[in-house]
Parts: sequence; C-alpha cells; structure tokens
Amino acid sequence: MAAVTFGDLLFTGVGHLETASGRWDQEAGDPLAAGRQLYRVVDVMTRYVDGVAPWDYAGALGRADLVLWQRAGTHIAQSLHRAAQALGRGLEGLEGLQAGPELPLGLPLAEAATALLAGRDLLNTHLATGPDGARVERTEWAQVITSAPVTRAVTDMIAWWCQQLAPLAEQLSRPSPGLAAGAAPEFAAAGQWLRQATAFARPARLADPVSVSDRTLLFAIPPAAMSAWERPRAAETAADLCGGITRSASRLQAAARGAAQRAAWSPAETAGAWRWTATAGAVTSHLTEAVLRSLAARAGPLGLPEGELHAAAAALAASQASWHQVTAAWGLITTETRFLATPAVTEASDLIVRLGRLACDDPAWTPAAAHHAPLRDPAVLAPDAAAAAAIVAAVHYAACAFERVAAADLGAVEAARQALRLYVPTRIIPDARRRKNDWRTIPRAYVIAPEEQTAALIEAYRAVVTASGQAAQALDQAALAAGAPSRAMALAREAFRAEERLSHLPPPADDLAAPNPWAGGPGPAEGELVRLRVTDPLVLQRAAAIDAAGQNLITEARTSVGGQAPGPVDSELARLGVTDPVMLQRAAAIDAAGRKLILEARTAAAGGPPPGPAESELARLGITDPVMLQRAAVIDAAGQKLTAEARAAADRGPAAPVPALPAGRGPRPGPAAGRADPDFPGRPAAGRPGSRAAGRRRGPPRAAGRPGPSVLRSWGSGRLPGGSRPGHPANPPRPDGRGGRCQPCSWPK
Amino acid sequence: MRAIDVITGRLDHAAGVPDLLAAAWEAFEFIRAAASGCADTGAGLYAAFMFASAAAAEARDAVGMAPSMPAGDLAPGVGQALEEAAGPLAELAGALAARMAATAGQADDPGDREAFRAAAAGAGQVRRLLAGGG
Repeated sequence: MAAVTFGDLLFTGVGHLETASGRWDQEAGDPLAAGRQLYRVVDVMTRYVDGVAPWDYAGALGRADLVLWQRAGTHIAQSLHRAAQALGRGLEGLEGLQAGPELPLGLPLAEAATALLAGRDLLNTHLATGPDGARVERTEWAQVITSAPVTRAVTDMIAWWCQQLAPLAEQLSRPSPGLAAGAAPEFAAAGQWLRQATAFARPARLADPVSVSDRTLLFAIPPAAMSAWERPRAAETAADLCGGITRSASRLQAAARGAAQRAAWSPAETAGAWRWTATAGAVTSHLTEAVLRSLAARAGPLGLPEGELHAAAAALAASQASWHQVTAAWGLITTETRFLATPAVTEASDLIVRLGRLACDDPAWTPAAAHHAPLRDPAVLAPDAAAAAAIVAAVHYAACAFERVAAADLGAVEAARQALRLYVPTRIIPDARRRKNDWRTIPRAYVIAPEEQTAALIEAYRAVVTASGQAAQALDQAALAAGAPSRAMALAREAFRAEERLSHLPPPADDLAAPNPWAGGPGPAEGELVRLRVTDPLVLQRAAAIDAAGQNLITEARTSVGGQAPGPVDSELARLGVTDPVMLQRAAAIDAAGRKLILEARTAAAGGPPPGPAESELARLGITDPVMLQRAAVIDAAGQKLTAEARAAADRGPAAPVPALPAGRGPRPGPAAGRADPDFPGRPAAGRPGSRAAGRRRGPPRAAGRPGPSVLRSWGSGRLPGGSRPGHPANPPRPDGRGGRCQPCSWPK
Repeated sequence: MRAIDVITGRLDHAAGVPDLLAAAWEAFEFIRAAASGCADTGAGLYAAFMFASAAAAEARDAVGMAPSMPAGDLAPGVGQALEEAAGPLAELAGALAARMAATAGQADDPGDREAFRAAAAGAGQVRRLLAGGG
C-alpha cells in the first residue's frame, strides 16, 4: 500500500473546508462552536507559516537574505496571529475559549483543522531538533521541505486558506441570537486580518508564481516512516520486486545517514563494510544498466523515452566503473576491526538480490555463478507502459540510494583517515622491505596507511560521488520523461539542486540594479521606519501594508502598459528605424527621467509636495490614467503620514534600540504579544465597536503629507544593501525560468 | 607454471602456523585481485566475481590480523592472474577453506584459531560464489 502523502491530507482538509463553507449558515447558528472551529484551523495555519518564516516580524525587516515568499510568509504569519488573537477575544466574549467542552466529532471545520495539523506533522517527521536546539535533517526530504518551491507552495496554500476562511469569520460577526455584543467586532476583525493575509501573498504570486511542479512536489511529500525489513522471497512478481527495491533503497539511504560521524570511533564501521558497499554499488550499477537497456528496447511499443533511458544507462555504466575503481583502491587498506554486517550491508544485499531477479530470467537469482541466468526478455520484463514506469522508478530509487551511499562513505572514509583508523600490512612498506634482516624490530603486522594510498582511495570516492550523482540525475530525467511514480522525487532533487546553484551565483553589482518593486526587501515606508528605529510591530505592519499596496499598484500599472510606454525620444528612434537595443534602452531611460522631471515640476508649480515613490514610478512608466495616479497619491500620502508620525514620536522621546537582527531565528511573538491598534487595518478598538480605522479615512490624499524623506522616493527601486533585482541582466533568470534570483544569499535553511 | 599453481604449491608446502598464515594471506590476495580483474570479462558473472573479490579481501584481512602472522616481507611475487576463470579460483578457494578449517582446530593461540575460522568461512563464501561458473 502506498504511503499517505501530504497531498492526501491536504485534499482531505479541503474537502472538509468545502463542506463547512457549504453549510456555514447552519454552523454559524452556534457561534461558540463555529468560532472555536475557526480558531482551531487558524491556529494550525499559524504553525505552518511560523515554520516557513520563523523570524519575528521586526527581525525579518532587517534581513536582506529573505526571498519574496519568505517575506510574504512573515507578513501572513503576523496577520494570522492577529486573526487568532481577535478570534480568541471573540470567544472569550462568548466564554468559550478556555472553559468550553471539547468540540464534538464531525464538525467539518474542526476536521479540516485536524487534516491540516496531520499534514504539518507529516512534514515535521523529516526534521528533528538537535541537542543545541538547532534543526536537524532526519531524511533527504528535509532539504525539500525547506526548499524554495515548497516554501512557495506552502505559503500560497495558507494564503488560499485565509481567503476561504475570511468570509466565514465575517459571517460569524453578523447579528445572531447567540452572539454577544463584544464578540461580533472581534470576529469581523479576524475576517479582515485573514483578508489582509491573503493580500500579502499577492505581490509574491505576481512576481514569482507558484508552479504546478511546486505543488506537485509539496503534495508528494511522504512521511518519514521507514518500512519494515522484508527478506526477499522466492518467486516474487515484478511488481513485488520493484516495491522491494524501493523499500530497500529507502532503508539503505537511512542506514547511510550519519556514517561520517560514526566512522571515527565506531568499531562497526569497517573497511570490510565500506569495501562491500562499494562492491554493491558496482553490481547495482551493472544490473540497473542492463535493466534500462532492456527497457530502451521496448521504447517504441511502449512510448518510453528512449534517449533518456540510454543516457541513464550510459551514466550507470560510468558509475559502475567508478565503484569498481573504489574497490580496487581499497587494495590492502584495512581497519583495526574486521567486517561486521551493518544495516547498510543488509539493505544493499536485499536490493541487489531483487534487482538481479528483476533483470535476469531466474526467480531464484543470487550473485553466485551457479545462478547465472540470461537477462529477461524485454517484452516479459515490461509488458506494458505501467510496468515499465514502475521499473524505471525502482531503478531510480536504487540509483539515488547509492548516490547517497557514495557521499556518506566518502565522508566516513575521510573521517576514518583523520582518526588514523586506516592501516596497511607492514610487509608492503618499502622501508621494512629494505631492512629485511631486522624486520622483527617492527613489532606490528600493520601500520597506519601511507598518505599516497589513502589519498588515492579518497580520490576514487570523490570520483564515484560525481559519477553516481550524474547517474541519479540522468535517472531523474528518465523518470520525469517516462512519467514514473518516482517523478516527485526527481522534482524534489531538482528543487534542491536549483537551490544549490543559486547559492553559488555571484551577487550582481549594485550600480546595475534596475528599478523593481519586488526586491523582497522592505519597501520605502518600512525602510524609513527601521531607520527611525521604530520597533512597534503594528506600526511596522502598517508600513508593510502601505508598501504592499504600492507594489500592487505598480504591478498593475506595468501590466496595463505592457512595460514602459514609449516616450518622445523612444518614438523618434522608432520612427528612424533604430533597432540597436543599447540606443533604445538609453532612449527609454531618458523618457522615463523626463516624465519624472515633468511630474515634479508640475507638482512644484502647483505648490504641493514632491511626488511620492508610487507616483514617481507610475510617471516613469508613462501612466496617465488619472484613477491610477490618484491611487498612487493616496498610497504615497499614507506612507508619508505614517513616517511623519513615527518621526514625531521619535522626536518626542529617546530612540528605542534597534532590534537585533537575528543571526539565527528568534521566536515569533505569540498571539498574546503586541497590543491592539485601533487604526489598522480596520479592526475596531475595544469599546468602539463598529468604528473604522483611521488608515481608511477619506480625505485629501496629499493634505497630510509633508515632503517625504528621500527614501520614500525610492520605492520603485526597492534597493537593499547587497541585494539583487530579479529580471535584471546582472541577475540571471532562475533555472526554472521564473525570473531572476531573489537574493544573492542562499535560501536559508 | 601458472600463478595459481604456485599459490597452491605454497599452501601445500606451508609448515607451521606462521607459514600457513603467510601463504593463505597471499592466496586470498591473489583471489581478490584475480576476481576483480575477471569481473569485466563479459561472461555474465560480474556480480559473482565482484563479491568473491570482496569476500577474499575480508578473509585476507582475517589471517593478516592473526597473532602469529609474520610481519616480514612478501614472498616472491606470483604475478597477476587476470586470465583465471571462475572454476580454478573456486577450486583454490575450496582448498583454502579445507586447509583453514583443519588448522583452526590445531593452532595454539585462540587468536590464530579465530583467524583460521574466519578465513575458512571467507574461502567457503568465495567457493560458493564462483563454483559452477566455468
């Protein structure tokens, strides 16, 4: 039976959510039970986003290494915590949060929360906490869970859930017989916080959309449970053999983990075992190559990717040669303890026996010469496409397992060498040979292996790490092309490789940074508040919301003009038939600067303050739509007002210390942290139910604004110290073709 | 004279535990190298030869760590034996297994006895892997 995946749990939760939405009118008749259900699901969602973006809000502001979705996750987390707080206060008003009985089974939203919680638990089975409190990867999937594609998919998923839950919370706030007066505004506020959480995902969705493969990867994540050991049985079917190979490969990978840490001291880690696994690697590569060549012979009738299969077979042949070279490099080298059958040896043995029975025409195949048998007829091996895909998957798992074994054994052998655990017989040492007559003065039969021999061994292991990695990658491609059941693993591995590649790209030069409002860093309002040492999370969040609104508007403007509208210089060059891209780019820049200058001149002539960053950016884009320009002015005014307030507050009292930028990850303030803010984002203050937020007051958009700080005018640039701009020539596109790299630093893990 | 015959002769003529250990060490090393070299000959016995090579290396190390193993020089080289087929190597392994098992009961030192037993097991494994392979 296939293991449950994250997707299974998520879809179960979505089903319950749909049920809840469909009968929410009925559920809302009992506001206490409905509110408790809602609180529970929001609470689970906060745990998800806390895992995705485990920085507190103020700490995240100062980090330049966060990518767009991580920043969105931080904002969403903050909103979700506020939503949970509001729901909690509403339930306290109904006296139901603490003292109420357990929710009865079968309530759909509570069931949805349970499914979501189970999904989160499933993800966490791949991670553990080390003795120092740091996160420790328990399985190879841990790297996938912390990868950019899964972060994108999880954050997007939570934003989607927020969107679905917001109307439910708002419906609870409507007058009903069981609803206390104080609870209604709290439920309404929760709905607004949920809507805001949804809005925080919008810039990230526009700039870095979540792809189908991102979601496929997330949905395919299995639990970290290890299957039970099963000895190969006689006359297993091909399907049984494929399943057994997959299980053995998984167990082999688990057994290989931590080998480097054990190698320095454990007597169970021996040269015999390392030599044996190298032998197993060579034999596995040999057998898998034969299987793939057989499958390639069936490529035509079954519609298999022949090229990919042949490429993978060739890569496996190279891997076999490298493993063989490792066994040769062991030569006379040994350890002080003799061979012990480790779990890795047992699993590799099972894997080889099943692989041999799959490849060869003998259901009782073993490596012994007496059981030598010809290869199976390809038509018998893969009678149909489904069987072929299952075999590709089994081979894929086997190759990936030995890729892991190669890396683990390299680390282990290096550790053993450093611990002086590698020996050779004294009799092969040239010095001893020359002193033939007094060899008994050397009291031991073995001495520490000379450097040249261990260096050759390490070099052979390095070669096999490369070769087995290439073989596994070739099988990734084959599995994807063949639609094999292991394609999710191929996607996961590709995601991790993409992270690795991005982390090694050099940062672009700052002077080449092009204007882009989606740099992933704080916008101008947030940046100015940080400069002013504002630490109040709610004020910071107001700034973030203003910045997000500006970013949305600029995105909308860019979409509406399809890029930068041609200006007079640009048009003239077009009329002259100029196609030189450098000249056209220069013309566009001159036009943009001209538009901005004209806007500033007009504003100055009218006696108003200079345009803010959103308005400037729209002018640079050549936007003339008065509605858009008015919206930009409103947003700029809000940002300037907030900054002015913060500056006035700073002038009144001593500056708060700048929040320490987290070297690691600090705990996020809990739901009880912070204080209610009557102004933002629409949650009425206690005692003033129904009042609207000051941030939404209508009025002359520019009246409150003094000339903003220079940083406000740079909204469109969104520059960060050492940051990079997606889409800029100096910032190459991501391997998956979704725009530029978000930050020069590696994805934090 | 074929290398395998030289090895077999040394085994037959070994007198005393140290001599036998040294001859066995060389025989196992010979099998290890020969089996590894034969694996790629295309006879379809890649797995058998490779695991036989690994088993021989393990048996070699077992006798190499015996307390009575002399720490002196190697005996005059017998050369590589890449041409050997599975059958002769299986025969040599069978002979080794028998000799090691027989001596295991006669050695004075417990460490030597344990080494002979381990070597006998390794030789038996090599023989089972290669027997019937032509």
